[in-house]
Amino acid sequence: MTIALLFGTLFVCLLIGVPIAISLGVSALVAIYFGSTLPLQIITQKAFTSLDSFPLLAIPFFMLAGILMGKGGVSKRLLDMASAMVGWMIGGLSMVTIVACMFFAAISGSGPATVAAIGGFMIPAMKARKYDGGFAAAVAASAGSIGVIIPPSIPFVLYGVIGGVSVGSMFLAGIIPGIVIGSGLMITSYFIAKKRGYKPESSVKFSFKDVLKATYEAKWALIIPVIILGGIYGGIFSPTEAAVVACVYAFIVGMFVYKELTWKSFYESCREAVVINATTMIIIGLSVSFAYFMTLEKIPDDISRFLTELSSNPIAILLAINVLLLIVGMFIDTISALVVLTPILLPIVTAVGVDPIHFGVILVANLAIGFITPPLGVNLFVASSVGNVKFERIVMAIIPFLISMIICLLVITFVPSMSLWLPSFTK
Amino acid sequence: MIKKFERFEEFLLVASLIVMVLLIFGQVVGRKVFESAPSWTEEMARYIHIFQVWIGASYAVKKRQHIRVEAFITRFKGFPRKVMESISIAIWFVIALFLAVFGTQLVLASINYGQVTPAMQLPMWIPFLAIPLGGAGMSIRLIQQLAAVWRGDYERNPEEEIVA
Repeated sequence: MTIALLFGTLFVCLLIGVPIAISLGVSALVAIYFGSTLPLQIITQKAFTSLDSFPLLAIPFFMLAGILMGKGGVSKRLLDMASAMVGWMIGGLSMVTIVACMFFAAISGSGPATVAAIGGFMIPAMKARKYDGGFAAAVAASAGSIGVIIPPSIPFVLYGVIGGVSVGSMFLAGIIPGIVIGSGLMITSYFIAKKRGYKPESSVKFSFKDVLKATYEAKWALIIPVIILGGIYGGIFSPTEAAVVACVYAFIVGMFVYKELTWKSFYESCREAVVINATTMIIIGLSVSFAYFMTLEKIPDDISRFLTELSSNPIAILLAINVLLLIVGMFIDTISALVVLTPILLPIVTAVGVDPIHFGVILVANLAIGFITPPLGVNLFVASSVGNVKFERIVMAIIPFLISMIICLLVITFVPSMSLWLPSFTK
Repeated sequence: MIKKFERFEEFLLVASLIVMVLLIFGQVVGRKVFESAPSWTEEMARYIHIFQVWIGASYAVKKRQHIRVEAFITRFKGFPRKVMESISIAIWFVIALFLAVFGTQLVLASINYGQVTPAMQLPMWIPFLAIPLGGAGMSIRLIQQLAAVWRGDYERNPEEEIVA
């Protein structure tokens, strides 16, 4: 009964447009007040203690570093490099978009930010070359979701904090799956481009020299992942400190090397980072109470019993969880899904022998797909607004990319070594 | 006057982020270069962050930046939309007021206990204050939003859209 109250309130709130953070908070409030003897004060306390964490601070700093990099002239260099690498292929511009997103993902930890940084240039460019607008936006929206899989990654930080898994290991675990998803998207876009006759970029002939030259031009951007990953694994600093160093570095490069960052755009970047971070953190602060209440009501046990009665085979359980996560990802944003689902699902899968690092990658890959599934697909919204393409047209064009990502997800799920191979070197 | 307050609030939020960056960067430099780092920087950055989040959440109400499912509600225009937006704001208002009231209780209880923070030995009620402050800020902003909705201003301003 209390559970019906909890989910009923949540559903109604989400439907009428109450922000997700508030919907989760109100549901917890209603359920605790009418369905338990808990003191209400617990919600306020959790709103404080859940945010009182140093590792969590990596999130605003990675956000700021990503925004500063985007405004500091980095996107353009990465695009030039990607163009020299893959512009000569069939459907050249869509290939460039995907590869540039993969590189930008190594600087930014956010999916929507990657769509904005790369899609902002590439969707108009593709439209100018008579690519279908829906296709152009769908390419950028789906490739942008790699932003949360290739490190750094905001969801990986959050998963690490909630699940008690090393954030550094999570970052390493995401590299190969991110490349696999990017390759999957490139193959998909190749076939579509071939069918529709999207030509290679005639101005680009593949030459090793040009690739090297463009890579050299982008060197200041490419140092960022080296600082972040090298710093963390070299034991020089924690992920939060790495994020701060990346901010300072991005500021210096944007201001004094590329000289494209002004004091005004710097102020604007900080303001954007604060607002985005506040809307993210308030989701964490309020969804923690929701998750806590679910645990008290022993919902994780029920789900666990249901799943293990279904099958004791880890593969079947992971498959069922994938379906659940894909559905959740359609309606709920990544952050609240992580806060609510990690404590429920992690014990279930570890009990059947799944590695927590591997599960983190599965979880985040699922939620990355959630970025491109309507009705709540944040990357679709961003691609629609930066590319000036009607939302409905992207939704139709996204389907082949969605299928390709789901196939990659299954590969990631059933080949654990893809996620676990790189972290195994740090143990 | 209200405009000025907004500029000040914005400035404060931006400044808080820069201070956080400097605190932690200073700690890294201190540890690596001078081989000594103060122990209070981490704690201070954490508490500044909590203030920044709750005040930023109130600022984000004004900017309509909170993440929500809009697929259903944007199908409506005019009076029905105004009613739905108002219900949504009312529900939101309940939480904001709740945080303001219960947050204040938390602060008062903490003053009574005389609890202090581990590293800086700061009275614990100071960081707790972020919650009621944010709740009260949101409550005020929501009333302004309600007025805006009934003036017919309920769409998000695309120019202010922030993506990150």
